[in-house]
Amino acid sequence: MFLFVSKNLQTMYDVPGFSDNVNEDIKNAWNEAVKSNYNSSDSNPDPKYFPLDPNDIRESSDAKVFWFADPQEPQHCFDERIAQQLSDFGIEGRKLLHNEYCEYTIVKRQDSSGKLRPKRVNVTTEFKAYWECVARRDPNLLRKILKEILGIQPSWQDLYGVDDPFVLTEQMRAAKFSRLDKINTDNALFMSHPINGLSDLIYIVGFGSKPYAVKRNGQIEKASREEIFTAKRVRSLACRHADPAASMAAYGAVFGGNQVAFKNPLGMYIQSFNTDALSFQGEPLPEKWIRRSRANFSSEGQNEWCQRLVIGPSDEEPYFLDDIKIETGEFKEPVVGGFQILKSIEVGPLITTGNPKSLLSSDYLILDITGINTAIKCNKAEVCSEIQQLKEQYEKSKLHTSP
Amino acid sequence: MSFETKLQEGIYYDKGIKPGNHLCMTFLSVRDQIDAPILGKYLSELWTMYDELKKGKIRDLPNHIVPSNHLTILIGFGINLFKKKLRNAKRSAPDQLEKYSTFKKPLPTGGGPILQGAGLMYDDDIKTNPATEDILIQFIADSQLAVDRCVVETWKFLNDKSFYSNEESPLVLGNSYTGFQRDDFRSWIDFHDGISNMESGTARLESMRIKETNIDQEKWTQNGTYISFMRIRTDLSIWRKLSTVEQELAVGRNKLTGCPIISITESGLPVVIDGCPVPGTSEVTETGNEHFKDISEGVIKGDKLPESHIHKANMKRSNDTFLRDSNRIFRQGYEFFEPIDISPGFRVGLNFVSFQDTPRRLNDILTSTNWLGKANFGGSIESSAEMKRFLTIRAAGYYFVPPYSKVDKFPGSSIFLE
Ligand code: HEM
Repeated sequence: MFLFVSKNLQTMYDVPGFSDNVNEDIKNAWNEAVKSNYNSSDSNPDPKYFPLDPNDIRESSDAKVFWFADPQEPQHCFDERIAQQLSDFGIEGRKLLHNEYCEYTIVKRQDSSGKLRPKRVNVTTEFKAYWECVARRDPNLLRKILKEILGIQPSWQDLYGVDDPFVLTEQMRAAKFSRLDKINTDNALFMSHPINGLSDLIYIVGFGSKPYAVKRNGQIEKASREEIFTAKRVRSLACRHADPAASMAAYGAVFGGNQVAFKNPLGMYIQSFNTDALSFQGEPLPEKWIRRSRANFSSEGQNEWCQRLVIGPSDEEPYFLDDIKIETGEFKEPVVGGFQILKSIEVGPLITTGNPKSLLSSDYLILDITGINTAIKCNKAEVCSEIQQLKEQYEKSKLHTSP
Repeated sequence: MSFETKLQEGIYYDKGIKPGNHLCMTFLSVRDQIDAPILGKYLSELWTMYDELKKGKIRDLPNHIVPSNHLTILIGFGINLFKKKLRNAKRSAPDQLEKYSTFKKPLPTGGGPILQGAGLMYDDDIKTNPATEDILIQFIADSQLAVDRCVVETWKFLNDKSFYSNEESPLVLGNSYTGFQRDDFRSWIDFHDGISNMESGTARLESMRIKETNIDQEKWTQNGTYISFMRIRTDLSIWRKLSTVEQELAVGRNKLTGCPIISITESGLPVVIDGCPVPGTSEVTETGNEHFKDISEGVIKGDKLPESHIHKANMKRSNDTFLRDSNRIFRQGYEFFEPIDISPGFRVGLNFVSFQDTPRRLNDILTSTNWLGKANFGGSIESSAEMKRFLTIRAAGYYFVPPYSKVDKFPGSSIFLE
């Protein structure tokens, strides 16, 4: 089936966050990536409810789609204290737990007594797919972005394993992309968790943008999260914050007769951050210790939005991350990692809805849930056993490091 | 052996159940550090007296029953009890109580935000927050006397030294706050309140019931909840300076009918949802308008409306209340009127009471800038400095409300007694 008719579809979306001044080529590549993910998505996005092009949506208004970024699954399986320990447990914690479309790394440095202490937290909501476009199409831009983020310019050898990446074909450059893994592990350039991808976001919005319904006493009614996630056999996604928030917001709009689309620029954004919760020596945090970047929203209200957030002092300053306190009411504790920061952050994509039109009774996709127990017990989720293993690994590592 | 647990009485969330007309929120503090079993025994006796009160029995009037007016009594415990007062407690403080159950102290000179990032401030004359005592008791009944009497009977009990050997009572009576339900379903700001509060039954229950946990030492908290209490003063002289349209946009509902506003015309006038109120009715509270009480996602048009109170307080409009991230909370507020001896001679406002499975839900609503963070009430009118003083806080506290189990001497007795 041929879904696309619009001519300038190639440049439907600007690059995430308008963050880079890119040429048409990169923009096209990004739009290609979006398009191909949309076309091949396992959730079979239905253009009748979820068109790819936001320009197709008239009488549009913004949907409010965001969620708190702290990993939720370990809080269901265990509690907040353990969730914090495991989420802050280096790359292992990130790989398993940072799955609310927000990842971070903790930068550590030695203090004057030689003790290794957390210095900064780097938080990112950038899509890997965008970085792949850049690495493949525009080595100069890749190096420029890295210079901005890291403060130093990596060599071509570091990035592509050759002295001149311009002699490589795009495919060859793409094949070198994994060279960024190490820098990404250390600095959180973009999201790398397997369900934090562009394809996952398109999947979940496509999944939610369907006129599901249940029949109760012969009446068509709105389905619940538990009913939808059970009937569609994706119960494993139902206990996070991101997937239910994104899909149920889309579903709510569609069930109300609206269409849903990503708004330009398609991306994942840090949409709120309660910086008042942080203090240093009893005062608000110095502004330079909160560095937002990778976004260029000029319109009012969104200028605090970003895809990258760095919290903490620079290497030149004699302070550390744990000199910063996070406070809730009278409760005060030093910031020791990223989990505490993520609790004050909401992230989400930009979604627009509109084109209101009444649904016909033949439009509804009636979920067959007769005889099925749809109750979802999040503390019994399958992922809990994986998290249990990580917990054991964490505990073992503590045994090794404590005297 | 484990017994079935459920929410305590006094949380009127279920279908067909109406909260009593009068509230009295009373705070008790524990005098000194004390051994948990000793306090537990004392509280058991107090609870026995409360059970008698519910049956209309007054100790000073043996065998003469008075009307108890559907009295319910709920007990909650604050973090200081666990952290500062109890020795040899049988339970440790629940994780979420420890992390989220305090508000900031008022500034020494009065005022100041109640939470880091919140737009709600203490009143200028509030230098200490009276709702930080160790124990909260919520009395609800259908008459003012029935709840006031509970405070007086509590005072008698605490004063009855002979009852507790010859020593002073370990508990001290703190502040009490009273309030009432309104038969016009409105609030002092004239608008309807308590309209959108989730469907009775499961949706409400799931927003506030502490969920199943795999952490052994937290299992006893399951089916308990957290209560929040804020004594909020409304400054009507500020409110009444707004035009009706400004007020409506600040709330998000039509002032007379209570119908939700879904868009704004180019000239800035609010437009209510089509068909509300249904013909033959004049207010959203009347039969036939049920589906207009809560507006679902996707109905709102335009960018200004989300600034309104009803949206700022419920950004997600999700009935999926189980997930903490929905930030749904069950509100059970009671308005108040108190005579004062300075002009204008009275103070009015709302005893904001809500129940949630963790205080974090309300904290997040009050501090995230996507929600009510930095806002005092809501609406684009907030840009005026005066509006930031519209609501002020006289007392604010969170308490853990242990589950009810018929084997416990009183809810939470397992904190104190084997
Ligand atoms: C004196 C202070 C307050 C007044 C006069 C007030 C008044 C109102 C009014 C008139 C409504 C609309 C009727 C309704 O939908 O029930 C409302 C709704 C609501 N208010 Fe307040 N409010 C106050 C404080 C608060 C605070 C501090 C919160 C904190 C969370 C809050 C949360 C809510 C919620 C969740 C709704 C329902 C929104 C919806 O689902 O549509 N209110 N309030």
